[in-house]
Amino acid sequence: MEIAELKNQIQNKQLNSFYIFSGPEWKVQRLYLEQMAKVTDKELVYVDSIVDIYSKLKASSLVSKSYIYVVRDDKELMQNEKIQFQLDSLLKNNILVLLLTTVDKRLKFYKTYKDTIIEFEPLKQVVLRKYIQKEIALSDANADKLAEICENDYGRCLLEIDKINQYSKVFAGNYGADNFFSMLLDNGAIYQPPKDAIFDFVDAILDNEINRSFDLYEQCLAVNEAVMVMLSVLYNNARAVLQVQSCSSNDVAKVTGLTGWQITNAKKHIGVFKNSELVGILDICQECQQGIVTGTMDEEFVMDYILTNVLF
Amino acid sequence: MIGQVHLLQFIDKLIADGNFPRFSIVVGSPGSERNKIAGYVADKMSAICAEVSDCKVDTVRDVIFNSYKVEVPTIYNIIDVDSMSLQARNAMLKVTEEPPNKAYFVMTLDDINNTLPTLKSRGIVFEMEPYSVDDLARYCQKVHKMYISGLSLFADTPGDVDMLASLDVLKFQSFVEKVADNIATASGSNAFKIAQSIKMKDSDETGYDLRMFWKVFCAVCKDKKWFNGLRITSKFLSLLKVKAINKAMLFDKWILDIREAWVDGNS
Repeated sequence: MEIAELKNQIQNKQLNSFYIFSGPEWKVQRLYLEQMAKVTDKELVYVDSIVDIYSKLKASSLVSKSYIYVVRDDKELMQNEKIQFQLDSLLKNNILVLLLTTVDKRLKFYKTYKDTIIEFEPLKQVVLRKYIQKEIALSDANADKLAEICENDYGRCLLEIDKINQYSKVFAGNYGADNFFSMLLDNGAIYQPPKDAIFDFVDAILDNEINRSFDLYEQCLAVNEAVMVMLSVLYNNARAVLQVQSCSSNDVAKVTGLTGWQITNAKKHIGVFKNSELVGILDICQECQQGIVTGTMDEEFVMDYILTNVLF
Repeated sequence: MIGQVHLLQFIDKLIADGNFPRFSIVVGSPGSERNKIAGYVADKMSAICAEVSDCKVDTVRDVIFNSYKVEVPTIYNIIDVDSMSLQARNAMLKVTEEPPNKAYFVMTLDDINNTLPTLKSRGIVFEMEPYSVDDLARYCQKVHKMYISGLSLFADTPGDVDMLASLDVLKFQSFVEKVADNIATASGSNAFKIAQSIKMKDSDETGYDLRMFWKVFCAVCKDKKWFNGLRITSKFLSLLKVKAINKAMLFDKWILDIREAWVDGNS
């Protein structure tokens, strides 16, 4: 189901009895839930599982009050087909909203309720800027910057906005939200997620920079970079350096078959390792790749093994 | 099917005695007709043969789900399962422990070590027999209606014959000979360039098949009496059976080892 359809249903006050919300925008989901509660005049009730309210829903009630029940990642609801089958009759005038952190498309539940799922994708930057500026008087540029830092996640933007507001309360004087934002940004108080560092990491290894290599390795781990990918990039770059370094011809591209970009990149690392050492790096990468796929090496320790062997 | 006389006799006997296993594993090299065994069994048992070529866990679960509902004997031919995910294998474990009444499962793979020991122990393993030169020549005549030079040297399976039929064999052979003659003496940067002529991924549209390249290289080494080259290449050929091994890395390692062996042999 599209968000627009839900919006129409809220405007027309004609809501279904069961919805599934998914996606990272939990704050926007919450706004929609509040709107749903407002137009239907139902109270929002957060429960751990449908099982908690099952007997209550099954029992006849003399009170006509109904609720919007919200459950998050409820396995019971997703796996128990008996409950799913009874859902419409169980809910009566109530509404049930299931919030899913991730949607497992392999589940039968997904296949059954595919059309009920509403994806709350991150907001577009222009829209998000307006949302941010509703909360705090940031300039367009800073609002965009905040959105970018928070990866267009409105919930995270609100948390950072709260920091700015708290900071401005502590420091008397009207410096303006933009100044406070810049100050917090400079002091590292605004959380900036680790960035993709795999190419810098491999460059650091091929430059034989020990400390930088280990720092960047940590950064790669922080963004869940796959060991196989790191291994592969290191292998390809070391191979290119070996090819360029051992090439005596002026026409490097023709002899090696490398692209101009690969050659330029490889030239930055020429002379750091001897040819035999580069061959050693290739050997160790191949050994590790084989070790991982045959199960003789633990993926978790492979990069440590490579770094200690290559850099020391 | 060509060849496989003893294997087919054994299968015939199992069927005749009503003992054909609910779960069996057919092991054979790529290019052997291992995927046709299930079809053969289905014909003999008048059963339906359903081929499952996608080994994703979702598909396997669907197959298992359906296998409990079939009303006529059905043979599920789950092919090339070397790269089957752990979840899918675990799903298979459950169904092979207590197979449904009318379903038979036949799995085919390159190397028996590429499956779970617990899965292996639940079924009968059928090993494909080696093909004779006559078998392959007959297959070549029947399917491709042509004579392929070097067939007896380079082809071990019908798949190899198909591959050779799609190649200019003489050109391929002279390429491998050129590599054998120059791999050790060419500059390192040039030697790595050989990889560009080899198909490293299934998605690569051009290039020679790596297995076939190494097989021909072995034949060339034998011809030139370069036994170190033969020893190294045959070791790498066996490593190709390891599932998910990075062929590009393996090929580079082969180049480096071959060059090193040549230097050692001449020092």
